Amino acid sequence: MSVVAKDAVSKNKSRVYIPGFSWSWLSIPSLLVAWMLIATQFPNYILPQVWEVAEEAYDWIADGSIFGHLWASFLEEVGGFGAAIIVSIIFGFMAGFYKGFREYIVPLNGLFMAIPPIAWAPLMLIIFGIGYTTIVVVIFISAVNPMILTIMEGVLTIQGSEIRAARALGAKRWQLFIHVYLPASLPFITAALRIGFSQAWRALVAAEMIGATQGLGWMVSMGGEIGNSRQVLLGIVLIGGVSYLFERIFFRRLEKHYEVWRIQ
Amino acid sequence: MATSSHVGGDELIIEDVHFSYGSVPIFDGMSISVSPGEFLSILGPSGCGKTTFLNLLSGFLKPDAGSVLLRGEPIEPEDPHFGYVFQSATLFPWLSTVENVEFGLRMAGKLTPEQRREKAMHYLDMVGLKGFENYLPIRLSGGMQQRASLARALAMEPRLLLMDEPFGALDAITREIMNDELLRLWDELGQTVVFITHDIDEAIYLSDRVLVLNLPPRGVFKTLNNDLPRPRSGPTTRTADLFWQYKKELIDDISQVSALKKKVQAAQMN
Ligand SMILES: Nc1ncnc2c1ncn2[C@@H]1O[C@H](COP(=O)(O)OP(=O)(O)O)[C@@H](O)[C@H]1O
Ligand SMILES: [Mg+2]
Repeated sequence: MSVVAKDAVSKNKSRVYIPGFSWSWLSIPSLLVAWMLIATQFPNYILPQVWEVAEEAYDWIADGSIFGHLWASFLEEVGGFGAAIIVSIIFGFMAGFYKGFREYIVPLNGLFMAIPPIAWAPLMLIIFGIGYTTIVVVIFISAVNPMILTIMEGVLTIQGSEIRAARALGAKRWQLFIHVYLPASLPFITAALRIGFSQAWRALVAAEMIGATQGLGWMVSMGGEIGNSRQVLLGIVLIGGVSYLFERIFFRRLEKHYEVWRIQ
Repeated sequence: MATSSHVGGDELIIEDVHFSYGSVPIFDGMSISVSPGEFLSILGPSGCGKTTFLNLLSGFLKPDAGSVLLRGEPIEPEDPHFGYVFQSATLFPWLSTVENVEFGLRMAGKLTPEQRREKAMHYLDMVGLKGFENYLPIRLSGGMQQRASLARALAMEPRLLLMDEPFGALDAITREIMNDELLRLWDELGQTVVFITHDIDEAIYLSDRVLVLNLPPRGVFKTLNNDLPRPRSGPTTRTADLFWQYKKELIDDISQVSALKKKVQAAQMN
């Protein structure tokens, strides 16, 4: 009896659920199919086909020029986002610890977050000229504010009882910081990293379109100016791909890893 | 064996302690002394200042006047001489159970990692948590979390153990089991214990002496010297005539304090 019943259940399940299958496998292929169908309606110098963009990619890889642009964007991201990490950890913890500093800085964060980062680009161009510094500054401004707020929230959630328990176990001031405040806020720090990375990347691309002579954003804007839609699309694919790889895969995993003990 | 109390000099002396939260006085000249190895329970309805008292003993709060001395020395929260088990389990949720128990030893930094682990495992075993050392606290039940908290305090090998309603959140059966375990550990290790509870049975079952706290800032309402023989065990101790006699006395004391509380609250309303 029970064997029959079990069988019936598993058969029933297999009708709606194939193990290992997820509808997400359809997302990218369906997008490519749609692109190909739409592209048939346009001359290829306006909307090129998927394989024509792939050929374009091959050319850029073959002559090595793609790597220079990727590297340029990467260095800018490291500079701006790296500085934002350091500053947001310091300011985020200070805002969490000191009420006065929190009251002072939160309105400033809100104000800066209300301004789209690209609006700073022309000013930075006037101050620093075309190139690395301008872009790094724009990235920094856009990433650091949400990161400070996220880390501050994390520090504020730390329980007074945990601090007292640690002190009763003999933890001195700096030990409290290393062994309680830091691990307790790690889930928030990793969330801040993910948010900051995506903000920084958006700002980077936008800033490169205005104030750079290389990089992925420059590839897209230059492609538009010279009417090379293949180059534009290749740039877009790379921008999305890099962001997806880091944000969705690397930083989200990191965050999940440090979140385990919070899920109640 | 820590069964004989009131031997030797005083371990802990609380002398003429005054304390208030802002303008609200909680203690107005409180004096108590505790002997080495004594198991002292402090009983009282909620809001009568039990937690405040323990925080004064541990140095988290400083008296406005008077002194709290452990073997003649003032106490700081970071002192390794006392262990504190809090009202709710305060395990660090990002550390495994054994890492939690090791925490204090790690802060002290006197042992190698292997020695620390060995000691932590010893105390985990003592509280019956062997096999759970790699669990994160969220995967432990409430009783297991309090056991782990106890092991974490014991691993410091403190002379004085302060416990603030440690089993208050547990069901009656688990609480009785934990009471027996605590007595067994105390018998083995011989620390001085100051144990806070609002449960009369628990106070009688565990202690050498029970203090009933009065409403703030009135201090101690009554002291009961508990002559129930040791070793104690559920079936004999809890059914002894003396146990019932103490229980009756304490119920009477508590109801007097509670009646006073109602009267004071009513007066404040008007
Ligand atoms: N941090 C505080 N600030 C002001 N009043 C407090 C504080 N903590 C406790 N109290 C008050 O002091 C009294 C004693 O509290 P507490 O020591 O926690 O009592 P118990 O542990 O016996 O329930 C209560 O009336 C409580 O409201
Ligand atoms: Mg309390």
